Parts: sequence; C-alpha cells; structure tokens
Amino acid sequence: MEETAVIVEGLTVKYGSFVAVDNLSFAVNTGEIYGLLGPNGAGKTSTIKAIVGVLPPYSGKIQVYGKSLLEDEVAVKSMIGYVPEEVVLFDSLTPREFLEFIASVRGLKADIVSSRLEKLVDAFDIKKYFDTPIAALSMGNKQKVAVIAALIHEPKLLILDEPLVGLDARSSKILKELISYHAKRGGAVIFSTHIMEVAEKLCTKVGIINHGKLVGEGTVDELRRLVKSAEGSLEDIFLKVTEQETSLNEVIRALEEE
Amino acid sequence: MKFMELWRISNKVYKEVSFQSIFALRGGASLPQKDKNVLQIAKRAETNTLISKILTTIFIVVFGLSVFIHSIAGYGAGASREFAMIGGATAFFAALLFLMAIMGLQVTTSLISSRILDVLGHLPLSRNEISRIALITFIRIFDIPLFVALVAFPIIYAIQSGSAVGSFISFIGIAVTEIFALTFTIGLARFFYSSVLRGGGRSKASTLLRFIFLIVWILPTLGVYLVINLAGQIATLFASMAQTLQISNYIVIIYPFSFSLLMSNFAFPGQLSNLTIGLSAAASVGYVILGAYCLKHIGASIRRVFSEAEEKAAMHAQIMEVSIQPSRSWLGIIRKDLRIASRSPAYASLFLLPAIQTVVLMLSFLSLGDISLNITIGILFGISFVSLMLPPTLLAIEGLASSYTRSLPLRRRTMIVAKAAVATLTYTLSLLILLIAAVFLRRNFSLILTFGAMHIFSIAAASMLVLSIFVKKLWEEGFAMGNIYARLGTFICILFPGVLMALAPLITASIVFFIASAQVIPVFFTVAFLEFGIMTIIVLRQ
Repeated sequence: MEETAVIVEGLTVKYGSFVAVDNLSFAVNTGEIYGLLGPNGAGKTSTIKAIVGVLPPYSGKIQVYGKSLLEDEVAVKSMIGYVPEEVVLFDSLTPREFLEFIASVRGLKADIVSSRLEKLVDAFDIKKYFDTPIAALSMGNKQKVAVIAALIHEPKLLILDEPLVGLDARSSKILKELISYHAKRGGAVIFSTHIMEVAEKLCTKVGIINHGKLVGEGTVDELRRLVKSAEGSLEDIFLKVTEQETSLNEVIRALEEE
Repeated sequence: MKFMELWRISNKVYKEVSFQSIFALRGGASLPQKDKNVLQIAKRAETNTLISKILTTIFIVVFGLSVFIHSIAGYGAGASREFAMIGGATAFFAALLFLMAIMGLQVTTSLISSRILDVLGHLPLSRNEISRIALITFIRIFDIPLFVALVAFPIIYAIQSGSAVGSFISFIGIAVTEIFALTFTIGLARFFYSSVLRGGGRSKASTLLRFIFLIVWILPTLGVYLVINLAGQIATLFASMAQTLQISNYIVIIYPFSFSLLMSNFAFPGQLSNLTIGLSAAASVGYVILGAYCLKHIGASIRRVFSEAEEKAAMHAQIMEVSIQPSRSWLGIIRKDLRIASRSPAYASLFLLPAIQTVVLMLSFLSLGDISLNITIGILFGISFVSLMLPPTLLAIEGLASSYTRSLPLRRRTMIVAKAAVATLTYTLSLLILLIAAVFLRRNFSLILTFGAMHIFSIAAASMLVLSIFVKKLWEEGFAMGNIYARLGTFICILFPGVLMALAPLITASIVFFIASAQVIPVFFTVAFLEFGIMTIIVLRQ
C-alpha cells in the first residue's frame, strides 16, 4: 500500500536576506523516485539540505514517514541515506574507518553490516582502496564511499544530490539499478540531477524548481501536457518550464554568428 | 619569469590560502548562510590572516626576547656579562628556531591542504617557477614575524652591546635561523605527506611510523613550552655552556653558538682566543652557505610535497577483507577523533599539551620544597586551562565534514559526552604523569594529586559547558568549526564560561582555606561534584 514518505510544506530557506527556497511544497510517496530538477542556483541543494537536517529552514514543515524533522530530528535522520552534492568526508580516515564511524553512529551490528558492506564494496569496486586515506581517492571513489555510507543501513528514504557526478559507467549503472530496486521494494527516493536523460528514465515523478519555487511537477507525460508538447524530451520541457528556451536559442545563435 | 610577476602570482596563492582557512570555518557548502557575498568573506579572511600574523609576531618577540633579556638581567648572578650575552643570544636563536618551526608546522598544513599548487601545475609555468612561487607564498604567510624578528633582535643587541658589527652578525644569524626553521618545517611536512599519510588504517609499521613522526612533530611544541616556562633557566644554561668554551673548542662550531660567540667577540673584544674566533667565524660562514643552499631548495621541496603526497597516497595495499567493527555511537566518535588527531600533527600536539605542561611544571618545581595549597591551585589552574583548549579542538576536527556529520542521526548529547570524555581523560592522564614523576623523584605531590583528582569532575563539567555552547552554534547556526582559533573573539567568549567553571572550586577552596582550613577538601569536592552533576543533567536533556 502506498504511503506518504516525505511531506514538504511551505519550506523557505534563507541565506541572510537571500531567499534560496521560497514557500516550496511537495510530497513523495513510497515506491516513488522523485527527481528534483532545476537550473544552477535554483534551490535544489538547499531543499535537500533542509530535508536531511543540515540547513535549518526559515519556515515550513518537513515530515518523513510521519515524523517531523523539527520534533524528532534523530528519528528522521535514522530513516535517511544521504549523498551530498559536494562530497566532503573526513579526509584523513580510510573508507574502512569512515564507514566504521557511520555504522557506529547509526547503531548497526557488526555481523549484519559486514555482509552488506562486502556486497556494496564489491559492487562499487573499491575494495583495493579500502585502507587508503579518503584524501588520496579520486572524486569518483569518494563519491562511491559516500554512496555506500548512504546505503549501509538500508534506509527507507534515499536522498541523493547529484549522485552520478564522477562515477564511472559501471558504478553509475549499478547505482541507478539500486535506486530502482530500492523504490520497487517500497522505499522512496529524492534525487537531484542535471542529466535529463537519467531523470527521464529513472524518475517516476519530477519536480522542477526555479528561483526557489516549484514551477512544474508530475510525471514526464504530465509535464509534456503542461508545456503542450507531445514529443518533447525532459530537457525541452525543463527549458520551457524554467523559461530558458528563448534565451538559450539567442545565445546559440550569437555563438554561431561569430 | 621576472620576480615581480612571481610576486604577483604568489599574492593570488597567498589570498587563496587565507580564504581557505576561513572557508573551513564556515563549513564549506553552508558558506553563504551568514554572509552576503563572497568578497566580504575573502576580505575578512585577509584580515584574519593579518591578525594571526601580528599575534604570531607578538608571541615570537615577547617570548624570544624574554629569553635574551632574562640572561642580560641576571648576568651578575653567575656568568660574566659577555657570557651572559652569548648565552642570551644563543637562547634567542634556539627559541626563534623552535617558535618559527611550530608556527611553520601549522601554516604548512594549511598550505598543503589548500592544494593550490595543483592549480598552478596546470598553468604554463615551469617547475622552477612553481617552486619559486611556492617559496614566496610560504614566506608571505610568515612575512611580518620573519621581518620583525630580523629587525628587533639586532636593534636590542646593538643597544645592549653597543656593537654595530655584532648587531649585523646577529641579523645574519637570525636570517639563517629563520631559513633553518622553514627548512625543518618543510622537511617534516614532506616526510609526513609522503610517508605517514599513506599509511591508512591497519598496517602496524605505518602506525609506528605515525607515532614516531608525531613525537618528532611535537618536539617544537615542547621547545616552545620550555622557552615560555623556563626562559631564565635556558639562558643561564646556555651562558654556562658558553663558559665551557674555554675548556672545549668543539662547542664553538655548533649552531647557534658560533654566531653568538662571533657577535660577542665584536661586542667585547679581546676576551676570546684567536682559535675560538677563527673557528666560530668559519662555522658561521658554513652555516650561512648551508642556509643559502636550504633557501634555494625550500621552494622545490614545497612543490614536491604536493606531488609526493599524491603519488604515495595513491599507492594501495592488498585488501583481504572489508569487515568493520562498529561500536557504541559515543565510542565511534572518540575513535574517529583519535584517528584523525593521530594523522594531524596540529591536533595531536594539543592532546599532549597538558601532559607536556605537567612535565614542564614538574621541572619548575624541582627546586621547591613542599607544594603548598596556593601552588597546587596555581598548577591545577594551569593544567585545567590548557585542558580546556581541547574541547574546541575536538570539534574543530569535524572540519568541513561537519555538514555531513549534521546529516547523521546523532544526538547533541552523544557528541558532547564523547568529546568531553576525551578532554577529561587527557586531564586525568596529565595527573597520572605527575603521579609517576612524583614517585620517581620521591617528591610529595599529594596535595596536587588529591585536589587534581577531585578537580576531574570540574574539568568534565567545564568541558561539557564549552562543548554545549559550541555544539549549539554548530547545530543551530550552521557554524562549522574548521580552524576556530582564527576566530579568537568567538573562541574566547565561549571558552570563558568554561574557564570560570573550572576555576570555581579552586577559588572557593582558596577562600575556605582562610575561614576553615579543615573544610577545604569537602568544600572543593562538593563544588566540583555539583558542577558535574548540574552539567550532566543539562547535557542529558539535549
């Protein structure tokens, strides 16, 4: 049975006087992969950070599986697996030590977590780097460590901010499969990406944010109807909804005339 | 490329290093939360760096010169004036070497971690040019302390000795000392990043190497402590060593005696033999040549630190299994903190500060008879003050990853309890060292140990208080800890209530001593335990 996994209601996030997220509302159900799209600086990462409890919202309500983030922060965070956009982990720790810290904080048992970890480490092919300081890892390998840290406790809700950046083709494919599998098993996913093809293939629902506001929401077909384009790709829809299409055509023309 | 062009580029690198130091303060991605624009932050970063340089300069001048002035002031007591001057100058060079080295160790970490030279590597610059830019940047980070030390001592020496030539030689001696300090710093950094950093978790050899390295890294810290606490004794020691020159000529060729002896020859002519003067002059010239050689290669060494760090760290061992051993969350935090600290000399040395201070205090009190209550309170205040530097450091360890830590299901109280436990344990270890020393030296340190043991409760309470304030800022205001010491105002304001709390039982005990001396111990214990009880209740409710 479908259940509401995340409710975001009237969320506003401010940086001083600058409003990054403006009265944003959306909901994500279990089994859903919700794609959060938007141009750079639209407010996607701020929204995600507010949901995972990293940024205190200026106003609004956030509920995860019926629990309020403000009232029961720890319970909400326990249900979330989060991959940040900018992967800044503890550089001097090795992946083994970092994951040991994550597992300790999450209260996981050694026997259960080790078998799960073995599978994830093999899947993402980082066994040989397991005792190498994170500082020495490539961006892609750091991303893999962050992804494993997000999946290690089998969270009910996965929140991934640009998770495919830096990943090689194999790992990218595995992560996409894992995301789909997670949703099929009844989990929920909030997923931000700039790669429209990925969002189009993976997401069951898409929310397009521009200037901190939700300017379009629904399945890709619903969005096509919204912009009155029967065949347009998600990229075309995105450019139309975020009103970038006209200016984009002008920029391309100007570059071609040079 | 012309020097002016290199200077201009180094300015950009220098500004980037300054910016990165404050960037770490604000927790990376949450940077714009409190600040209107990045230009403002960049400007503030430069101001912070300037303030830091001025504080470093004051520190070096005050403590460095105090060694020299101590020796001059006390020359009548044991040594003749010329030997007092030799001892004082030698002690100043040694102090300067230690002080510059310890400041350098901190700066090198920022410079390397900024990874700014990686960016230069992609520009059309030769390796030699990158080396020179690295050197100029490194010197720019130190410019004010380097310049002031270079000028202040020769002026004071000229006033004290009346010798212009002696003053000029002191100028050269200081320049050589500064180069040696920078070389020592870079050498340690190179060793750290190429040999220590790559040893990740389980290799016993790497762990041992890290431990040895940390001891080496901590030596300058110990040197600074000795300089601060035993300035007078050091100067007297050097003066008496200088007097042995009449017996042995070997010491003449040892740096920094060679310089101070040569300076003294011009200030007090006719006091030393020609052989002694000749040997010291030859040795000094040798050290100048060695200094020039070091200066030439420092830049290349800085550049190599980057490449070696990349190359060596990228090497990985054969991993047989990937099992992990999770623990309770508070223990997980402690293990993580200790691991990070063991790989960051700047943090590790702070862990050892209370123990080092105990050793220094113990040495200072060797000449005293029984330790009175007043002295006990003074000692405990000193150790507890240094111990209270640890809680902010333990939060600073979170660094840029603090944003990630906040996304974890972690209660504030877990973090506070874990870090307070480490700070309290460090304080307790200091007392244990004192106990071992007392047994070894057959001295009666019972008052310090009795009050110290009771004071553990107060230290735990004060640590919890300081951590509660910091964690509140971290959680609610997005205040990432990074290099908290760059924000001295905030740091002092938060530390102050903690110091007051640690001080409360000590002050109460002093007052009670005059009213009812028999009640000192019960009152002390009650106050300390009450503080602990109250803070425990407050923390557990978070």
